[in-house]
Amino acid sequence: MSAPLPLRRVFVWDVPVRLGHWLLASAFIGAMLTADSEWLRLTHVRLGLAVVALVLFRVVWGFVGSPYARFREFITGPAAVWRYMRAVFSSTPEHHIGHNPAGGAAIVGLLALGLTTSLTGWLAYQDVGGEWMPELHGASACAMLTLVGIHVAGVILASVRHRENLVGAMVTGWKRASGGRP
Amino acid sequence: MTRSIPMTMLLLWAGSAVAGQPSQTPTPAALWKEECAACHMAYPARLLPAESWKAIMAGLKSHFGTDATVDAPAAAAIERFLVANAGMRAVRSTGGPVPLRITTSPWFIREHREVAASTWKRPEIKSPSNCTACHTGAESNNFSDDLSGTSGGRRR
Repeated sequence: MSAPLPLRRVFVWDVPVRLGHWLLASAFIGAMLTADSEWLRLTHVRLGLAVVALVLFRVVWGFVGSPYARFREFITGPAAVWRYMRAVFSSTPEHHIGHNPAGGAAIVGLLALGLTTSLTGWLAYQDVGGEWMPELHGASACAMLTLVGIHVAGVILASVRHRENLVGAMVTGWKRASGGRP
Repeated sequence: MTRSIPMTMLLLWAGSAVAGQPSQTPTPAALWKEECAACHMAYPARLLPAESWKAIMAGLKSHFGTDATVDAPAAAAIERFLVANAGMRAVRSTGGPVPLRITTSPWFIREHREVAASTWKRPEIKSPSNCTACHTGAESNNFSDDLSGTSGGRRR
């Protein structure tokens, strides 16, 4: 066991970030569950529209939101993501108060896939783009589901490695800030 | 004292059930089912956009060759119900009138592209508008691809 670190609680995730996160997660899960039902087609379309609204809001919030919500705080580029990924498996995982570089990359990917999945879905519903539009929609949704899986696995891994509850932080907004670099 | 609460609720429920039954106005959904299904399957609202439903409700005097007039208050309620639950597919601007037929919608044609022309002509099917011939759950809003109850009308 390492020596107990001095604990300091910091408010990291503002209300729009947290609410947006869980609404986006709910809309995505709902859309996956209603994907194959003709009966619930309109529900599926509406959930897709909700995804678009939430993603567009998050993009705006990424420029005007509170400091930890901003893109420039967590978009780091592949080199930093790679360094973080190696560190997280080492004995000295680097700790970030805001999103870690891998989490930041996941956000960018999920926002982009949320948009492409919704857009291709809307076009498929409108009979635009012929046979391959539904295929493209399905592929985009599959890619998004995969990235959601990686994101959840990453959250669990980082929570264990940093001994902190990242899921809880996305609920309450508060994180533990200890020693390490910010 | 505590025993009287469920008793009161039971009496209230029984009272409202007896008193409420005859004076209750039918819901828009019930009206839609009653009026439309009097002649054909009550096609779910999501199968056409709102513009098409408005045009259909405005033209009930000659509804695909039949006078299907419904009394005005019921017609208004049915139209509101159809528009509120209409599909969100955009009507293609072809320059002509608003399309009224579900069976000529691009999505309908695409979904049924595997159905052979000879299949449509079978005596038990007759017309693409006869949903229930193949979609046995259509009356209860289920148009799933599972047509296992049918004699396999799909082209090989």
